[in-house]
Order: sequence, then structure tokens, then C-alpha cells
Amino acid sequence: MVHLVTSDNVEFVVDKEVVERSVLIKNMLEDVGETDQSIPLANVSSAVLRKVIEYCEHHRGEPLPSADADQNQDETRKRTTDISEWDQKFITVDQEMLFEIILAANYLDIKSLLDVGCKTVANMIKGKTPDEIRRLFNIVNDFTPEEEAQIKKENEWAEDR
Amino acid sequence: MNLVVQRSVRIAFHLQVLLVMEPQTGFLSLAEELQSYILSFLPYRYILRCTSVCRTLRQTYLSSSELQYIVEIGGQRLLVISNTDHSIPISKRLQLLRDKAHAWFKVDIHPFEMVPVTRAPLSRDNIVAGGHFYSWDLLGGTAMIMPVLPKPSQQSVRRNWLPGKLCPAASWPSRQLDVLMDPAQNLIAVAYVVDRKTVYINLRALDGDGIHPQAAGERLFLSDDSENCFETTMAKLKGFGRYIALSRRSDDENRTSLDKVWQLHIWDWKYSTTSSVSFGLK
Repeated sequence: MVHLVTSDNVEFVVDKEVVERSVLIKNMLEDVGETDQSIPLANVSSAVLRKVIEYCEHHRGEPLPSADADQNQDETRKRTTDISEWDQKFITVDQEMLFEIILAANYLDIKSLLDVGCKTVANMIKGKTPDEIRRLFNIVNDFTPEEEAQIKKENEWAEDR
Repeated sequence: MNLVVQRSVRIAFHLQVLLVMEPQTGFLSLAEELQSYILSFLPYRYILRCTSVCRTLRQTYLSSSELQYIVEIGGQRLLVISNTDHSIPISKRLQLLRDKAHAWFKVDIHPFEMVPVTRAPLSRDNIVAGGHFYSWDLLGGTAMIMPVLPKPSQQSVRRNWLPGKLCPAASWPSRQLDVLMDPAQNLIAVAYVVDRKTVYINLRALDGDGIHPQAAGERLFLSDDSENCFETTMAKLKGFGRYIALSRRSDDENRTSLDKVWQLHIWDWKYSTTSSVSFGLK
């Protein structure tokens, strides 16, 4: 069992096999060896870690993507934003939690979870106009009208296809 | 006392500011690499749309070779083949794609002259080949050859290729049936009928009035035209490289029957003036 302590000082005790889906923790454990000392995760809150562990529990035992395979799949993967049913349900959270999960997955180096999060955000963006995207993420349009017109003109070719 | 109040007001104010300013974890709070990673899942046109959302996202796009690569691939309508050799870094691949695209941009299309094409519906054949636009106006008996993207050495050619000029040997009552222009072979072939029955095809060079240098002869003949008692009413010429094909319809000369003959003749025009293949159908 591995002990993890979150940024808000909550301790989680997790199966080694589950927690090792995180490449960061896996490498840490390999470096340190068997230890009862808890690992501090200063960037992850308990609410987020709970979700991350839920994800790792569900995908326990699935093979981790190797670095090689990853490279080969890279470009074809980009074209698809498919998410499995369980993952879809799992990632149905509010926007802030979604981004927190992405940050945690990135920090803990859990590639499959990072992809689920990023694909979800991409799916939210897909099909929206710039104005709808601004409203979606609460972004202020900081272009001058001239700049905006210029960019619109530059991108015109892609729109009328 | 006064001081205390003031201080607590100030703290309250600070708290309020903190609450307002507290950056929520949102899209823009993600590191640039994460932003571009997310965008890399999008089809290229939505990546482009994101560049007009705000300065931060535009910067994300501009500093990511991968996003620009996806847009370039999509814009040029190319497909990425998976499992290919990835030894070339993405920035290099982007550069290769752009150099290729720039070859197109180098063509200056602005001096393109608008040419009114009169009587366009009557025009039998419009071909674009070898950088030229070829138009044949059957009724007007004119042919036009215009460079699509004019360069200094190119000229528009407009000629009167009326039957007499085009086929010097064939005077009335000969009738022109069809014209084939093959810019790739510098060939103009004119099919015409003499005495309402005999069909000839004259071969000439497009760039001058002379006989075509590679042609087997000045004129192509139909091999089995001798005992023909049908009147050629329609003919169509097609060119396929070294071959010329003519399909024609003949109707009974005396109009006593409704018999029609369809024929297809094919010449290897650089080799022989007699049709090598012919099919007939009554």
C-alpha cells in the first residue's frame, strides 16, 4: 500500500498497482523502494485525487501505453475524440473539476486520463464560434476590432469549405 | 478604535479583491503546452477558430509547430498516413509543407485579364490543359487559346479557323464536323465531311498553320469508307495521347429507311493515316 498526502493534508492509502498508473509515482517508488513514508502531492487537492484514484481503480490492470506505441499512434489518435462510455460518465464534472483533473493527470503523468480530459475539452470547443468559445470559458475578447477583422480575414479560407 | 475599523475595512476590501481576483482553474490558466495539447485534438478549422478567441490562444497557436502542422495538413487536404517514419521533427515537416504551398502563392494571378467569352453556350469544347484555356466556338468558327496565368512570353491567340482556312482542301459542300485540340501534343485535328459521305481528319500543329511534325500525314482516312451509301450526320473526335478516335453517325442517304449506322474509328496518328480499328453497328 502507498500513502499519499494531498495539498489540503488528507491522507489516502492506495494499492500500489492502482497508484502506479501514475508514471510520476511509479518512478518515485522505484527510486525510493519499499517505504511506509507518505508521498506528499502538493499540487493535488483531496477532491481531485479522489477522482484520479477512482479512474485508476477502474482501469487497474490495463496495460500502460509504452512510449514507442504512443509515438506511432500520435497522429491518428489526434483525429479521434472518442471517449469510452465509462470514461465519459466519469469525466462529466463541472468545468473547474475538469481542468483540475487535467492538471493533476499532467502532473502525475497519467497519459490516458490526460487524454480523456483533453478530448472532453476539445469536444466542448468543437463546432463553436469564437464568441461561443469565449462564453464557454469565460474569456474576454482582448483584440482590437482591427485585429479581429484581420484574423477573421486570415482564417476565411478555412470557413467556406 | 478608528484605526482598527479602518484596518478591518481594508482587510475586508482585500478579501473582496482576493475573491474577485482568485483565478479559477479555467482554460486560460492551463500552461501553454496543455492548451495546445487540447487544441491538437480538434479538426484544423476549429483550431483556427480558437486563434480568434483571444491573444493568449492566438499565441498558443503561433508557438506550436504541431497545431500549425495540423492546420497546414488540413488546409492542403492531405491525409496523414499512420505508422510512418517519424524521424523528421514536426517543425521540419511543417516547413516542407509550407514551402510546397508557397509554390502556389508565387503564381501571380492578379494580372489575369477577364476575357468575355461570348456565346459560351454554343461553344462545343472548353479545355483547360497545359496552363491554357482552349475554347472552340463551332458556330463562329473561331478558336481561342489563352494562357490561364499569363507570363510575359505567353500570348492569347484568337484565330479564325473557318473551314476554308482550317481545311484548305475541303471547300463547299464540305462540312466541318468536330475539332479536337490537344495542347499537350500541339495538335489540332479537324474532322469534316466531303460530299456528305466521306469523312476526313486534317492534322495540324497548334502553334502554326503547318502540318504537324509528328503526324504520319496531313490527313487521316476512314478505312472502310468506299461503299458507304449513308450520309454522315454527326461525328465526335476524341484524343487519347497518340490515338485519335472518331465516332460518327450515318443516316440512310435517301431517307427511305430509318437505318442508322454508328461507327468508331481509331487512329494511331503518329504512325498511320488509316484507321487501325473500326467498329460498326447498324
